Amino acid sequence: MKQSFQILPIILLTLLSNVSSLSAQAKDTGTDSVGELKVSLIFGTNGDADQAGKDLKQPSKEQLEALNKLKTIKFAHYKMLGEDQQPILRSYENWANPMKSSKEILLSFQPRGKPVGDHLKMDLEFWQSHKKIMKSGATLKKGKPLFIQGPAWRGGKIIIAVELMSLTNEKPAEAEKK
Amino acid sequence: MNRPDEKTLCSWLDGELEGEELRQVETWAEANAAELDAEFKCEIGWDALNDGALASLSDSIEPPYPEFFNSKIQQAISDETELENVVVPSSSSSSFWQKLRLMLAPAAVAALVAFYAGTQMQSSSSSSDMAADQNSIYVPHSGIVAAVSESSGATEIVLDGLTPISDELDIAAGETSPGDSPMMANADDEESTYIFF
Repeated sequence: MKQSFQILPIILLTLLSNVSSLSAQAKDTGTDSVGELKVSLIFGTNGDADQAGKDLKQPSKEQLEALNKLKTIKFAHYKMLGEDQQPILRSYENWANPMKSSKEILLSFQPRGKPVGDHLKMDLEFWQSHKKIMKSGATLKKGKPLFIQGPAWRGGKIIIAVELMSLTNEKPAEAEKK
Repeated sequence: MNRPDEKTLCSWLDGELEGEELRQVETWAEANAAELDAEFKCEIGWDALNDGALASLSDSIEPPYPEFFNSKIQQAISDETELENVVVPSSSSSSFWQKLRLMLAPAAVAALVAFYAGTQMQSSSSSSDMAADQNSIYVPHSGIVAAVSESSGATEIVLDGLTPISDELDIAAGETSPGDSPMMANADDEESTYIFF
C-alpha cells in the first residue's frame, strides 16, 4: 500500500509530461496560413502563340491589363500555361507548381516576417530544370503583382506572375468595415 | 745604552731591527721617550705613521653604524645592477616595438588601399549584381543577370542569360527535363527530419 503511494507521483509526472508534449505539438503555429499566393506561368511571344500548345487559354482580364502596363516585359500575345495557388505558411517553406504535371518551373516561398499592413516580405526562389536560378527578397502587396521574365521557349519567353491574393491580418479590418 | 745613531733609529721606526739590536733600542726609547718624541716627530715617515695609526686601532672596535653603511653600499650595488639589467633590455624592447610599428604602419595602409581598390573593382565589374543586391535579388549562377524595374502597378524582374528550355520539351503537356525535382527532394528531407512521438 505504501509502495503504491510512492509510485503515484511518478505516474502523475509521466502523464503530465505526455500531455505537455502533445500540447506542444498541437501549438506549432508555424504551419498556419498567413495568406494565399497565386503563381501563374504565362507564355509571352511576338510570334505564333499556338507554338506553346493548342487549346491554351489567355490570362485573365486583370492579368492582361497588368501585362500590357509593363515597361520591360512586352509581348504581343500571351497564353496561360498553368497556375497554382498555395497557402503562405507562417514559418515554413511552401512550393508553387504552376504546371501540375511538369516540374520544369517551380517557385518556393517563405515569409520573412509578419505581414505589415497589406505588405508581406518574402523569400522567393525561382527554380528551372531542377536548379535554383534566382532568390529574391521581394515585398509583395495585394494588387501589385511581381512578374519574372524567365527562359526562352518556342520563340517566346516564359513569364512567372506572382500575386498576393490575401493576408490573414486583413480579415479583422475587413470585418470591421463590414 | 748610548743614543743610537740616526740610521738605527730610522730602521727601528720602520720595524727593520731584530734581535739584540732591537731590544737595546727599545730599552733606550722607553728611557728617553720625551726626547725621542720631540726630536723625531717630524722625521717619521708617512708609511710608519700609517702603520702606527692602524696599529693603534683595535680590531674589536667596529665603525659607527656598520649596518647603515653596509646597506647603503648594497643599495648602490643593486641600483647599478638594475640599471644594467633592466634599463638596457627595456630600451631594446621599446626599439623593437617602435620597429614593429614602423613595419606595420605601411602594411596597414597598403591593406586599406587594397581593400578599397577591391571593393571599387568589384562594384564596377558587376554593376548588375549591385543593382540586384539593392533589390534583394541573388543570382547564384554566373552569366545570369537580373534587371529589376518598379512601377506603381507591378514589379518586373527580367532574367537574361538563362538556358532556354528545349523546344522539344512540351511543358504544357506536363513534360519535365530529366533530373530530381527539388520540390520532391525537399519533401523527402522534411519527412526524414520530422519525428513524431
